[in-house]
Amino acid sequence: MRRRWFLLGGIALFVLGLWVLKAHPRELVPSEGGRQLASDFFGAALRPALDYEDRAIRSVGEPFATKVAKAAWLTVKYAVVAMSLALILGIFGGVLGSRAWWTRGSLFLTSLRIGVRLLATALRSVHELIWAILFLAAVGSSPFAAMLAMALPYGGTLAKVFSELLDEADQGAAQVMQAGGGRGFAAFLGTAVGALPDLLTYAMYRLECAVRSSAVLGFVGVPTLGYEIKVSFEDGHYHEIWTFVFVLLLIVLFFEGWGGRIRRMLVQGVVPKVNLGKKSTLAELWQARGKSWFLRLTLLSLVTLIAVGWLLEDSWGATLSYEQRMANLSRFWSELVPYPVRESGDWGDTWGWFMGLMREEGLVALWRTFHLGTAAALLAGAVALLGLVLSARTLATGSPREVRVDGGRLRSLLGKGVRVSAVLGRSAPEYLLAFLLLQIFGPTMWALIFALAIHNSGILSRLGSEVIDNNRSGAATVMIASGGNRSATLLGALLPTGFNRMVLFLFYRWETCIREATILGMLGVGSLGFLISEARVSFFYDELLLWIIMGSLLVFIGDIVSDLVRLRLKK
Amino acid sequence: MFTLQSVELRYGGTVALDGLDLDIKSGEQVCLIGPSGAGKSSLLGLLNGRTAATSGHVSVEGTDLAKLSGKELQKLRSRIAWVPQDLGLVSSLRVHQNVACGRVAEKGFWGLLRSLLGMRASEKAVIHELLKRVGIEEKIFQRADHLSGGQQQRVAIARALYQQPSAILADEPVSAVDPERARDLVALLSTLAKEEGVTLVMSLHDLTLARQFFDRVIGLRDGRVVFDGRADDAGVRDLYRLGGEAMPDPSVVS
Amino acid sequence: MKTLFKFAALSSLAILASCKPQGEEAASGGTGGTLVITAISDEKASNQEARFAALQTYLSDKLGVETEFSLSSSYEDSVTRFKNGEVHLVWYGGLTGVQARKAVPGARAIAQGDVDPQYKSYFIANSSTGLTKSDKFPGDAIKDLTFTFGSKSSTSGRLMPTHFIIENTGKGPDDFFSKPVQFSGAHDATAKAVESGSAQVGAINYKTYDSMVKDGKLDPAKAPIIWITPDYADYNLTAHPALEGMYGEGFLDKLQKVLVDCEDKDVLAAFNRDDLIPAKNEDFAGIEEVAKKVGLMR
Repeated sequence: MRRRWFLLGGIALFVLGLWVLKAHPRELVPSEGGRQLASDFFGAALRPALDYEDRAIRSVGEPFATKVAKAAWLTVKYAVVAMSLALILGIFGGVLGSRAWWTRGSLFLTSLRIGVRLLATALRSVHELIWAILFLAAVGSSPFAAMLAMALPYGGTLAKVFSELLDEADQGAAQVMQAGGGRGFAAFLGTAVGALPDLLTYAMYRLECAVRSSAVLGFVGVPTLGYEIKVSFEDGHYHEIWTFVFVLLLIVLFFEGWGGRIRRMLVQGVVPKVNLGKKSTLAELWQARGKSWFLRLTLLSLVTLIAVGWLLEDSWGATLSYEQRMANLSRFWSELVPYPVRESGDWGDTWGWFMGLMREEGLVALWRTFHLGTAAALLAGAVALLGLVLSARTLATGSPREVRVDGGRLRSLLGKGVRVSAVLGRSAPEYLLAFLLLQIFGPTMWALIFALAIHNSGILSRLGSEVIDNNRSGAATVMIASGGNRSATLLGALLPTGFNRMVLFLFYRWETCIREATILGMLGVGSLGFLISEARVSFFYDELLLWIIMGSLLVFIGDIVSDLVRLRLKK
Repeated sequence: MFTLQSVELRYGGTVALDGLDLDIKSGEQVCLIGPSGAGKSSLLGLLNGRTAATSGHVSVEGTDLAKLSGKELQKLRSRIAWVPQDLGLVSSLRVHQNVACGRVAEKGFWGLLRSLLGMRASEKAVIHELLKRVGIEEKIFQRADHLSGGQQQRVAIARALYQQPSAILADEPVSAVDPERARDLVALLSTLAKEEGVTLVMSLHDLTLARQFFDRVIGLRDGRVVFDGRADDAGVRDLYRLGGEAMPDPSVVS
Repeated sequence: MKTLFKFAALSSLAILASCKPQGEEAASGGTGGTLVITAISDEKASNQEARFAALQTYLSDKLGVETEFSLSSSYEDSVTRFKNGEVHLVWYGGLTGVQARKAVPGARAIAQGDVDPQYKSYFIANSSTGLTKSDKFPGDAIKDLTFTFGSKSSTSGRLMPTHFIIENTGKGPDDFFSKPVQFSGAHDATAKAVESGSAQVGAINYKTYDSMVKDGKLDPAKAPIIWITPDYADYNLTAHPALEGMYGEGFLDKLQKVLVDCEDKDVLAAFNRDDLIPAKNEDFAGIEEVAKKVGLMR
């Protein structure tokens, strides 16, 4: 019964969102000019540029291929270097924020844990693009600033997820060790090692996300693939754009595949090929133990990549002197003070300034941002749900749930198609998708909604399919065997048991959608991002800070709400 | 070794153990018998101080547990090995690493870390010998979750032995294993304990097994000791009568 | 764990390294250093480095200083870098120049193109709208069409067109146009957008439009001019006061003379101008006023 209300509520919220965002269905049909532009633009996809489109620069400067390679390398480098820092933050934060190593609780430990979790959430509430804008404004352009802009929110996310994984991990081994006289932290090693496959899997997933973020940072000036896309767009070189987009997708897909393989290897382990008998010597047994060359190679290449990334940068800091940077920083701080306070010297003016801005633009922007994220998340969920009968491997075959039914060739083909679209959707950064879609739909909210929905439906489709595929329920098999069709089985036997988990995933993505919705406004259509962009362009850093804080508060609250809902659902 | 005096254990409103008086001597092999919920696990929990008695005294090696400081309790626990029902193995670690966890008390955090990351050859040899005694030495470098249930049980036993304890507490170590294997495992554990002169307190719910391998059987029901003594025929009849269970065919029992 | 220590060691090394001043000491107070040139990314951004190469060599030769061109990723980026002292000579638009000079006391506009004191914008429309060139502001004819500006910081692509819209209609663009306005980010992009029709009307820098038509990159029949704005002062070369400290007093005047005296076509091609004339900060007072009125400055 509750589920029906949930679904109805979702639909109502979606419609409300569309109304608030003034997204009319008639805007879905692009103008004739838009269609022309879209066909030009997407037509160019079939022939990505292999050399500069502007003939004049072909013989000058570096070859096009070098430019692409450089941008690609920088994208990967910033991602890897930022992740290495984030990993350190994540490990410290993850351990401090978990209670798996406590032998007994105390007020100090509990407050430490909550404090660390809140800090991690706060770090993550500020989007990496916004960190980048802040750092760039404060200390000027430097690779370190760009890297730190990603390391902070990613470190926060890692800390939060690591602490959750550690809390949920099996404590059996730790309990045995404590019972055997082991001290808290030594026993914790048992839990930590047990959770290691999950921790590493998540870290690799974050690395893949970092590559996307690294590319998107290009839109604010960091010299990664996103920057090249932006410049090529502004110059009207559509074929070049596609070259960069394809390269980005390839890199992201590579990291996704790598991470997937790592996960499988960690979870399954390697079975030794030779089964030695009892007579074997210790040395022989050690030789024959199951080892994974893949994992070793992975570790080696990651370490090398990180080392190379850190060491190959000739100027981590800016090219300015220390005094100059300090002067810039203090000037930046003073610019953060609200304008009326700077003029009058009276901090009491802050309230009036704050209320004025919120009333004029802030509250509306917050409201629209919330609805943009929510509507997009709901749409993504709906799309993923509808495609579930095809995206779930155990359903989209000729033998659904291992019951031989029919030919299923078309069905598995369609299933593969759905899965491939999902992979592509989630490999493309939302910001990039929005940027491209705005060209087709013009400055409407639909472009932003679809950008978020495409990316997130890819993710939700994958997560939902896993829930369905991992469902060991016999009820589904029985239904198919007694002649039920796949959709009915999905609705009747599989969805009900998996419902809670899917709602869990929806809330997790909802909160991310709000976060991205804040940023997407920077592309020009009204959410908080638009106000941030305006403030930045006019150098009103006080307003910039206000909008950033508002946006982060929204995400922070969304994060907490999502956590609470998930806690309740898990019970 | 273990002495309980008028021990009562309450969880909220439920009474898990009620007025227990028990004395287990050093080197004794004792089996706790009883239906689910009788209090076997709770009793085992008291013996190494994992749970504190609500009232009464629990003494180990003459010392009242309640009077021990944290450090002293730790020292005491390092001499008692615990094998829980779900084994508490780290599935992604190899057998030798799991066994090494047995000496966590003397190794500490850094020692254990070192053993896990790069174990000395000498230690590997010691563990290999130990695994021979439980019969799975060829699995020494395999991942724990690649082993069968029975083999995993043996790993847990090996870990307990590696600790070189004065006492082993085993909580239903054979409940998830088929009867054939169960016999072998109980035999193994009680034999090893006898060899080492280690006190063994094991809880089972299969009376046949208990009779076969243990001289002393303690029957628990609803948190009380209803039987304590030799599990010979007379005793068995008493136990079954008290438990209200039907007595099996004598020929099978013998 | 070993890997962890490796990361920790490497990252602390890197953090420590970044605290040391890297590269040259381009501080105000030291002498010498590289004169860094940059420009706003208003058109043909991918070509900028090549275009400014000639200017670089010219200044190097004439003034005996080391020069370097550094790409700025956006309009505001070029202003931020000027504020931070990372760049010293910048080809700015009207608004960005005013922003930069306001933020850095002592900064001077020293040169501008010969046509820049009488700069103007075109309002262009897609041929499908059926609008033609008129002397009167189009007003009602365009208020229900989709409109695009250039970059948010552009004088000819946003600031002045906004000013004229307010002057002629009494309303700001957000209120005047019934559909939300777009920002293309650059003049080339505006031209392309209006030509294809994805935006029906646009405001564009007149020089970019004329150049694109001349080079055959834009078809004026598809995107005709429908209105020409009144004149205003736009582009300028602004210099950082730090240069005086780097190369001695009077350097800015020397720099000004060198720029104004330049006849080299290749150098001037960077600015898409035929000649450079002297400029001073006061020339752009009007821009500052308009910016304040429109709300882009305070």
